[in-house]
Amino acid sequence: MQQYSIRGKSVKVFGDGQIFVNGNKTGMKQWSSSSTRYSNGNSGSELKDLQGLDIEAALMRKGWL
Amino acid sequence: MMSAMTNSGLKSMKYTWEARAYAFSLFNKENLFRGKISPKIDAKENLSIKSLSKFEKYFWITIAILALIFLTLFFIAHLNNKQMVQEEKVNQSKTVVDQYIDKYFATDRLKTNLESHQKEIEADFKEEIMALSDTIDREIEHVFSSVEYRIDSYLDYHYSVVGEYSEMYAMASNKISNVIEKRLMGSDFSNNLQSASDTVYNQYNNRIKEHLALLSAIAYDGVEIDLDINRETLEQLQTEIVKNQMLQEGKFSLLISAMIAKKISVVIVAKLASKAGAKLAAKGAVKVGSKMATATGAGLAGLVCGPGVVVCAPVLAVAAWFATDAVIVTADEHFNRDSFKMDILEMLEKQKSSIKRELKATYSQSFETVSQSSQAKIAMTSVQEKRRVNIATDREVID
Repeated sequence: MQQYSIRGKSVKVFGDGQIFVNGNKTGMKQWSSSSTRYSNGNSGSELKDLQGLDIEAALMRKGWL
Repeated sequence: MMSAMTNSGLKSMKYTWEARAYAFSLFNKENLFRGKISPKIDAKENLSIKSLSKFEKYFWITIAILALIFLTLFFIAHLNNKQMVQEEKVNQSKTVVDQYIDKYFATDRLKTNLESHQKEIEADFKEEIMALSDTIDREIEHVFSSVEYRIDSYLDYHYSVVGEYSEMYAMASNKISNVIEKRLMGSDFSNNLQSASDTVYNQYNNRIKEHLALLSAIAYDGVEIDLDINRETLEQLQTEIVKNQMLQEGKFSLLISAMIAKKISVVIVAKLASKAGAKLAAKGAVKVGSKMATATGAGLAGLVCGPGVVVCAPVLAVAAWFATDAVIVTADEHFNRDSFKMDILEMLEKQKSSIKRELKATYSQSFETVSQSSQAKIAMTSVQEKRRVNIATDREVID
């Protein structure tokens, strides 16, 4: 698990890629092969609009930060 | 030439102990004492030390003392150096051994990992249940929407003379349920329900897989597991989790079977049939009275039939009979159609809610059981974790 503190919020990325912010499930998954690509936790499809963004930018784009 | 060689040798060695030793040996080898530095001293002349001048005597004695000190120091230094090199070698080999000693410990870190991330596990559980609940709502709504769409067409049939007699015949032959089921629920209702159940079940499987993947990711976080050593334990854990999952899946197939066996359409149809039957009975009573009055009217009309009365009378009777039916059915529809439609909608809504509730409760309970039991099994599993240990202190090495 990787844990970050971004903008005062606790961000955890678990081994299966799931991202939690302050203990809340975001429904986003970070790719294991590329840390700047993400997928929808439910459908597994790639979130194209987040391609190339680091985790902070990606979470901001989705309104989690 | 020898002097030049000596000088260059000494320069290149930068006056190290070895250089000094080398120089000293050259002095001896080439007999420099005799030949170069002190040409006066010759073996053939066999001069005694007494024949040396005072300067020469002190000079060579000093040289001899210095040489002796040098050799002594050189010897001691050599010995010390050898000892230091040996100690360094021992130290190096000791450090290397310390760094690469791996030990295996039974760890309960899987349990502590799960305990320290309960917030995330609960959040994931709630999300999965909500997603599953949405799927159940969507699928069951879809199945029943086709039934609701059919209500008006069924009522058109129900409030028609043909429909009325068909239903009466079906009721007499005890097939009213089949008629209403076909007309209202549709012949593919059971298939649609089965398909919806399959979709919910697949969604459940995907959700539970995701949840178990998260549990594993959390449990094994930071635990260095040697797969070869823990293979048996992990396989056993996996088997236990799958077994528990299968046990829960058995409940779903029972639930679906119960839903199909219960035949939701039959429940609805039974209620409708009793309502329709009551309506028919009520209508029958009205009809008997009105038909008697109609027959009396037709009988009076029969007076005008004259000689063709044998044909004329039955035709008039049939016409009067069905004309009465048409009037009664139209009146019935006018007064009762809306309330009957509301009754049907209410019954469908009740059945729909009941199925949703039953599905949600079963799936949610099952999800919770699988999640809890998997967590318990993971927490109880003691795996062998590899850790680096300092052999001297027998303490874990923190990288």
